[in-house]
Amino acid sequence: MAGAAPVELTPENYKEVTRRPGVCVVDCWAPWCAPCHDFTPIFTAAAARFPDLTFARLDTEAQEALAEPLGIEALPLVLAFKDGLEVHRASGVMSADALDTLLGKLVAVDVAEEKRRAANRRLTEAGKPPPGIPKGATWDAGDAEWTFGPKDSKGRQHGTWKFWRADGTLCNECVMKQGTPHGVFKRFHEDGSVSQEGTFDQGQLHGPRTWYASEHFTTERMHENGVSERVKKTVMLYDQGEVRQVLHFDGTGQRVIPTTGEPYPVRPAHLPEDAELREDLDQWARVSLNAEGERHGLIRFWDRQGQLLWEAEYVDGLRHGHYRSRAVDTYADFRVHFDEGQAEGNLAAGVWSLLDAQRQVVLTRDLGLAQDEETLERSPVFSNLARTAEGWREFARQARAEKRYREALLATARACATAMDVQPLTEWLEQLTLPRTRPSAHALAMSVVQEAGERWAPMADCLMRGGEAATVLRAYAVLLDQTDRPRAALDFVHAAMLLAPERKAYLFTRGLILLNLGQPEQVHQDAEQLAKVEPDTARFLSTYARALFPRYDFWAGQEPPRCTYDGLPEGPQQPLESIQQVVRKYATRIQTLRAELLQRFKPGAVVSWLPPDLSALLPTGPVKLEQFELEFGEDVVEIDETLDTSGGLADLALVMRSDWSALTWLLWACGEKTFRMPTRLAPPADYGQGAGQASQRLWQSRDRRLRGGDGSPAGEGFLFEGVPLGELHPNLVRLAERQYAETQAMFYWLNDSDHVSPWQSNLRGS
Amino acid sequence: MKRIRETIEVAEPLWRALEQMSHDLGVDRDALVAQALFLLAKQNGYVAPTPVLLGATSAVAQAIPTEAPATSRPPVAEPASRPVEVAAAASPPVKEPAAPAVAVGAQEPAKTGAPADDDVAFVRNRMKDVLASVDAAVLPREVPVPSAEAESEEASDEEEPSDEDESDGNDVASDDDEESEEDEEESDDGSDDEDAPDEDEATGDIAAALAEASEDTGESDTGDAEDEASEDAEDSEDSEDSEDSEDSEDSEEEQPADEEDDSIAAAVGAEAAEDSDEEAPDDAGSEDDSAGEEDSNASDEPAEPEPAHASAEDDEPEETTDSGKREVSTNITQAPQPLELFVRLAPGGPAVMVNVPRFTLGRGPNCSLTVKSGRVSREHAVIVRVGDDFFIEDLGSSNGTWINHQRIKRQKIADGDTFNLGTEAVYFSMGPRED
Repeated sequence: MAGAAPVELTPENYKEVTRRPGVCVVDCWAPWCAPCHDFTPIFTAAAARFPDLTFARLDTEAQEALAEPLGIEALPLVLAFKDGLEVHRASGVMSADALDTLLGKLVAVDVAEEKRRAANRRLTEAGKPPPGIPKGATWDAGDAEWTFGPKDSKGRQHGTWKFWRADGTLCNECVMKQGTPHGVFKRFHEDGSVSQEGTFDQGQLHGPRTWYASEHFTTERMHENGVSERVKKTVMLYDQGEVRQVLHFDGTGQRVIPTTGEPYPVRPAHLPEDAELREDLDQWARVSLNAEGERHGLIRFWDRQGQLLWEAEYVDGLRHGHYRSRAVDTYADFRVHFDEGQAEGNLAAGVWSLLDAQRQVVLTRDLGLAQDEETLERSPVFSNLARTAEGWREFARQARAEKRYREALLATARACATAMDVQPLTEWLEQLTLPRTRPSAHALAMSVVQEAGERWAPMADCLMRGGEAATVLRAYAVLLDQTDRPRAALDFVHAAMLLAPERKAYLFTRGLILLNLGQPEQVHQDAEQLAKVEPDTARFLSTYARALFPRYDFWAGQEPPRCTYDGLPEGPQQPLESIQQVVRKYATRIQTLRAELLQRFKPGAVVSWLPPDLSALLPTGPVKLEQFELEFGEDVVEIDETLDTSGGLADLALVMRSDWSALTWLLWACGEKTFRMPTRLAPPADYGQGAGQASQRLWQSRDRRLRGGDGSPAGEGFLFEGVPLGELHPNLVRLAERQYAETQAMFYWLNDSDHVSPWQSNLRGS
Repeated sequence: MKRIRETIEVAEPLWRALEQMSHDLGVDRDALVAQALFLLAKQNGYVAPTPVLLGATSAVAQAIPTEAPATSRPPVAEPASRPVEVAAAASPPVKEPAAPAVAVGAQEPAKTGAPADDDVAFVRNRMKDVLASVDAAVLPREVPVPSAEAESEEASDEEEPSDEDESDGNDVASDDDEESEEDEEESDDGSDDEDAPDEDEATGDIAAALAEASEDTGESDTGDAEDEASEDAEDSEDSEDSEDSEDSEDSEEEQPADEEDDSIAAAVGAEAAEDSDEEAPDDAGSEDDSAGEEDSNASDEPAEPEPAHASAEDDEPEETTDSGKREVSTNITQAPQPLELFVRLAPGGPAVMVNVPRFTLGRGPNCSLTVKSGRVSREHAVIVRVGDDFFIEDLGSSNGTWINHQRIKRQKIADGDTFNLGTEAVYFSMGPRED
């Protein structure tokens, strides 16, 4: 087999190949397993380097009969046999290096010893300690170890305790004092060499804890998590349980970088002794932590050459105190090389200075009070109520006089949005904030919005530090819209648009805000503009607008209903009186929603999309909406007819849509064609089709949502607001699903005289 | 790569049902299986509704805060690369000068010095229309923001939402509150669970989902917010209380005496929920990290944390018989002690000791013992102790509390009694404390 291509395993050759004397390694793979394909060339190439080993491959898909007894749980998987005994398995794509290491270890495997260990494992399974383990040892199922050692008078572990693996190999030796580790401990590889040693002080690790790699197979962990195989020794220095420093060494004892195993670079001479390389950043860092592991004290970072990048004082994880950094190409004035200032609770505050290369002040700016999260989230600048431009200007002047510059800028933004004049905002931004270069301003704003776009204080802080204002104000608009303050959101998105009128994408933000303000006509206009640059987004926006604010007329039966189901019901199974009562319930819900929606508008305002008044269905006024439990067959079913009208406008509009659908189909089912209380049951001929259609469309919607496009290819499926289901955006599919769920529940109730109400919780499940 | 393709056996009747359903419903078999799995997974809490993001158009992309990069932390027993730091440098609100200016420049669309005039004109004209339309019709609602007091109240009293909560007109907040009160309703009723997808849709704000994907997790699922609220509360207690209160005073002083602010002070509004959403990632992050640190420090690998071993012996197969004997002998010596009452949900199942004055049984999560069945009321029955005797009392349950086919209101419990809560049996036994 020397150096040849791996053997393909088949039922015919499996035993012969895997039971050959010497080492046989098997690459288990499957055609559908992409990582397997990555590993194959690595595995095949190794065959040339290890001519004495047998290389084989097993297609777990084609050879299921062979693969199944192996209990394979992950692919790719390397199975290793020596003299016919399985001695090792390793999963995941290995690098060529790692595979070489593995193969090298395989050669060293002592088969007799492996057999002994296998026998020991069987003894352990039988509850008997393997040879070499004292008779009184007990099996700890939790840690899967045999334990033995002396106890004190209270039965606590006291003295030197030993622990063995199931295969009988010693894994741990530890000095205990009254039940707590106190003193030295050692862990061992399977081959008996030390894998770890260190010292406990009253249960806390203290002093160096050292790991050693093994030349043989071991279950002791050392090289996981990206630590290079070339690391042969690791020392973690503890101080009463806390790690202070971690050092990695290669086989020659030279300190190395853990991820690469490359020699550790020489620390620039002027850096403090405790500065360590952060190889992920390629920077030197001096980080001190408090007991909680948070940064605390002076934190400093340097580049590889030892040039200070930044330093900041921290208090319990937050920047608090002095800050300075190297800032080349950051600020608008090209002379600036450094900045410095104060931070309070991670926010910039007070006077900041920009310095040139000679550390001469180029510019100073007072960033004012560090207005924190609590203050800003309650700030009137985020009120959902509109004010006059002068009202906001007045607020801004006051805030500025009190050094609340953050609020001053935000109020000015609202003033400008209200007056549609961006000039004052531009001026104040120039006067109050640090002047950055465009790229730096943009990068800062983007990073803060990404990391803290759902908080109030960091974004305002970003403004002060020169973050690009349009991006920040637009992010505030999004945040406000989501916290049900669309009117405030509108001001902020307008301010952003005034600052960056070329950004058409902001039309999408405004579109969503306008939906929450009940302005579908305006949304359609924005969508038209947006379509020029982002047609997909624009289509989403206008479909969403149509879905939220549809034409409320008699929907049912406008097109003949169809479905592909068999055995459809022929007519309502509920008595007329019950139907009339449910009609009244739906009408009451719709009237309640309607009234609630109207409350969001000024008296007398024209709300074009508002559903027609259904009070004709309620000659004696609204009926009571109830909530109760009922025994239903063997189950308790909850019935909840009540409405939550506290939601945002879009939420209410969605409920309205579903109820409207259910009510019109209910009336249709009785033979009505208008909103009229049914006085007799005259179901249309296609009654069953109507009921089936609701169910089928619900299924189709759910399927589309759960499986993406699978069930409904693009261009296919029923039309939802003019869009075929297969093309409907998943977030809009939910609206369709909701509508048909409600309609289906109504039909379920109508078709089964045992049901009590369409609002039974058990009618919406499937 | 941990997924193995597998053939799954389906029992014959189920397969026939599947085929029939597929035919009757006009739905593809795979679709049915996928939905069945989804519902089951959802019912058991294995999937959360995950709103799908609108295709990565730049409009959306700009508003999407990407998830913070996962900070790697050392697993349990390996050597760490360096001392573990919580709140790692991943999200420094004050920027560390690391942003590559060049790359940023490239990201930015070719930017002219001044926006084109027609853009400006267009923006302004549309803005005029929009404002005219909005301000002619819309009556904006003021959304209450939590006052510092209300918040601290919440912090100190997590379980009882304050009354103001209910009166305030904000959906997020009120959802939240309802949830805490009506937990029982929501959580373990099978039919409710089924209902959940619809409910999600009701609250899931699509606009929000689209505009800010990262918020989705929090927003669409008020349950999360609620869960984290308690964490938050703890946090705020932990973190400098004194500072907090100072801050709140400040903020009150700073606020001009607008009426809206008065109302704000009165109510816990959307921000409570928001808050928890916001801080959740941070909290979770730091907790994770600190946990990670504990792990890496943990003594378990090298030296066996000991409590486990102390108790391990009881688990020893050989010794169980011994301990059984011991129990018998201790029984005798302990006989004079009052007997404790134990409840089991299955004969031979784990016993729960009735150890509180009012021990409630029901399917609500706040019950002392939760009985998972749709036929059991949320608070079905209560066990009270009178001297050395125990009584079971029906709490007006819909399906009643029964013994020997008799529906009872209140009954003394004897050793070995079996009562039915609706149709669910509960088994009582009396004995000495088992400690």
